[in-house]
Amino acid sequence: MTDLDTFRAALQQPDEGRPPALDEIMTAGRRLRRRRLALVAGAATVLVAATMALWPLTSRSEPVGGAWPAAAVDARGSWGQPVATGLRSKDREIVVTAFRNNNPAYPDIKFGVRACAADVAGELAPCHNQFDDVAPDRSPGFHAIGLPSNLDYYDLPMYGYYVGPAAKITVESRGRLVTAKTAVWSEDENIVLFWFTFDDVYQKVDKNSPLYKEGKVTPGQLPDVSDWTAYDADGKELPVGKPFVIG
Amino acid sequence: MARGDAEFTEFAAAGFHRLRRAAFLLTGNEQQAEDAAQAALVKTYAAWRRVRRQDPYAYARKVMVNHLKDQWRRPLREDAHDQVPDRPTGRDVAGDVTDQRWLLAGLTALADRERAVVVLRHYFDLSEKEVAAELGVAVGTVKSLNSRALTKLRVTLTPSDFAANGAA
Repeated sequence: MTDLDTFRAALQQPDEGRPPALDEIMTAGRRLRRRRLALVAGAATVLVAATMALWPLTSRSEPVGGAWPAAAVDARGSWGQPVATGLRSKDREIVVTAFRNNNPAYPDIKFGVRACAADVAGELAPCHNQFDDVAPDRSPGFHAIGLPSNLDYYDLPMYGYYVGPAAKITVESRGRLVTAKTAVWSEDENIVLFWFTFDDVYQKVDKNSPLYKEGKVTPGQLPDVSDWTAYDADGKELPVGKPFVIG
Repeated sequence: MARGDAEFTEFAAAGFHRLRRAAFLLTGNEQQAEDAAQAALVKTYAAWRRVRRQDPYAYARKVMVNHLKDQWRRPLREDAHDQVPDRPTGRDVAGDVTDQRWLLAGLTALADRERAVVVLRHYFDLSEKEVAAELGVAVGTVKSLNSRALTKLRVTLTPSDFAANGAA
């Protein structure tokens, strides 16, 4: 056994590696800054053009579960067609998709799901990845459910996947029954990707946190979620499986 | 050299080793740690005008942790190994290679989130609330992950440690 002070002292051992490659870091940093500025300018142009093009149509509801334009997306690390959720975080569109899992330690888990913030160039980053090791990946029921999170300053929704012909997915969050948005995964019609809007399942933002005031992250209390239910197209309840919510 | 660049150079030289050490504790891989620390500094430099008057070290730390979080391929690992070797006794921890091996073996046995909580809490000395904000999880989750991680690492807590860790 080890006491906490000794453990902390072991953690605090000095790093004795080489110094930082400052020239490389600053060159890469300048390149990144230029790219960001170019993207911001590009986004503004696209936004103006899109607003003008869609102005007469703005009263129609936003499409949900539409496929993210394949030609526009750099889906490296993804498996299958990314799906536009209709959600946005700051300047990015949130998409959900899947990824291959090649970890030999989990031979019956061939894939997981990911929620990504897609920029105007179609690059998927940052991405939150998760897979389920509670049950085989294609066993009937809910899998790999992640609570709302904030990654690299982008808000990502609660999402996961269901194996089976789910037409409707509901859950109770903060005492309210809410319904997920869904899309069939392009690689297997028996697998349904799902996500919840930020209005339905959300963190309670702590607006008194200095971090909130600095706009760095979205600190807050995570929701309790329960009563996972899936229904088929006839309204019949489907197997729940082993829903495992990652907190 | 511009004034901002001079400030960044000074900041990077001072903070790089600590960032790389933290990344090494988080990954157990020297190359990954080097890459993560450099990536954090690249992004910090890109945002330097905005963050230099705030807390650039906190910004770099958060960028680095997020960079590594993005590489996680699995959620909370409930079945993470519980067979952590006992720490060798009768040795001085400081500079002790054997203890560092024990430390890395112990950290490797933790789930990603447990490991992140341990490093943020006990290496960066952040409060539970700050760790929760940094990882985007509830304070209660941080408490349970920290407690579980220390148990797996076979770290014993004194009553004062319990108070400092927010335990009831």
